[in-house]
Amino acid sequence: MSLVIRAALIYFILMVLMRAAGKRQFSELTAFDAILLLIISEAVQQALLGRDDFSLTAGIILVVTLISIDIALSLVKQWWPKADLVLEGAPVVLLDNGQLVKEHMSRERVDEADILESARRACGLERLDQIRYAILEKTGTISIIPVQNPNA
Amino acid sequence: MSGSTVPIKQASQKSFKDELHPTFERRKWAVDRVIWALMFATVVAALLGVFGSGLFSRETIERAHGGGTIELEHPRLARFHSPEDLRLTVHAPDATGDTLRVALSSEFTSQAQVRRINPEPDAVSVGPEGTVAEWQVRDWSQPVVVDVQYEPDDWGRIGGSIEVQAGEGEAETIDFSEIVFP
Repeated sequence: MSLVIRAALIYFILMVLMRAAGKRQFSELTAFDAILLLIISEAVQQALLGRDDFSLTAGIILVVTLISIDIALSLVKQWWPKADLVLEGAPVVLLDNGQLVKEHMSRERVDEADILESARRACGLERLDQIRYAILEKTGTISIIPVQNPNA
Repeated sequence: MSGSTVPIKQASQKSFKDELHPTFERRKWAVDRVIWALMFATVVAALLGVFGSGLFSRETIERAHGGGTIELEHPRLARFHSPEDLRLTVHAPDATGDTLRVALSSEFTSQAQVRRINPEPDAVSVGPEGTVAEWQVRDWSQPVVVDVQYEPDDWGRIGGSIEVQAGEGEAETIDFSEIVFP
């Protein structure tokens, strides 16, 4: 099979798997996540290069193909916003006006500790009642909007 | 204290606007678009086989021989140390004798590593004409297909010749060459 077709197949299969794994899966790498990524890249390398094709040309074609697909998809997302939704997903509200949205949290496998950790890091907040909105972004990070201090 | 110092008030006058280079960025965006176009063209060319293993990367040379034909299908474009194959189809219904003899020139075997010959020859020898493989053929009425699997061991233009003798008839020599990408 052509290198280009193999690279495109691997790209789209990995994209589907990563989307299915969830936004949080690889957003903050644990040590094991890093090892898992290394194992995945090793496994994918075999599939990409096929029958022992270790030529420089094959390597360049693979890299050019993968980056080209990435650029092409970014252009598609720019021209057609629905593609962005399908390929990248949308932000999800985890804490709405001081209320935890439990369904979203369980679907995205996020708990209160994750929200608090982001609140501590981003805004130096200590408690959930200091947060107005917590939003799980497309990239997997949690954005925090603190409660406005009426005395400020 | 050694080294020069800058008062904080003076340093704080710096703005992000000092780091902006809109003209440079506009040029870079233009260059980016050209590189994207080249990348997309490379992908299309690779799909078509311009860098080997594709639609336009193979060539078939056909020769009329006796009452039949000898056909050599080989890559015109290949990649260094990647698996390739020469496919020889000998259709010699009028052949007498029962030996098919195929000689790969030493010019070719010095530039490529022959990995496997399929079907396996009954005898293989090395002589001044190169590597010679022989098979006993029971029925010449059907085409005999020989597949030589190899890896180019050199890059640039490589090639050689293949000499085919069906039975006791005259030998036919086919010259071929290919461009091997690094």
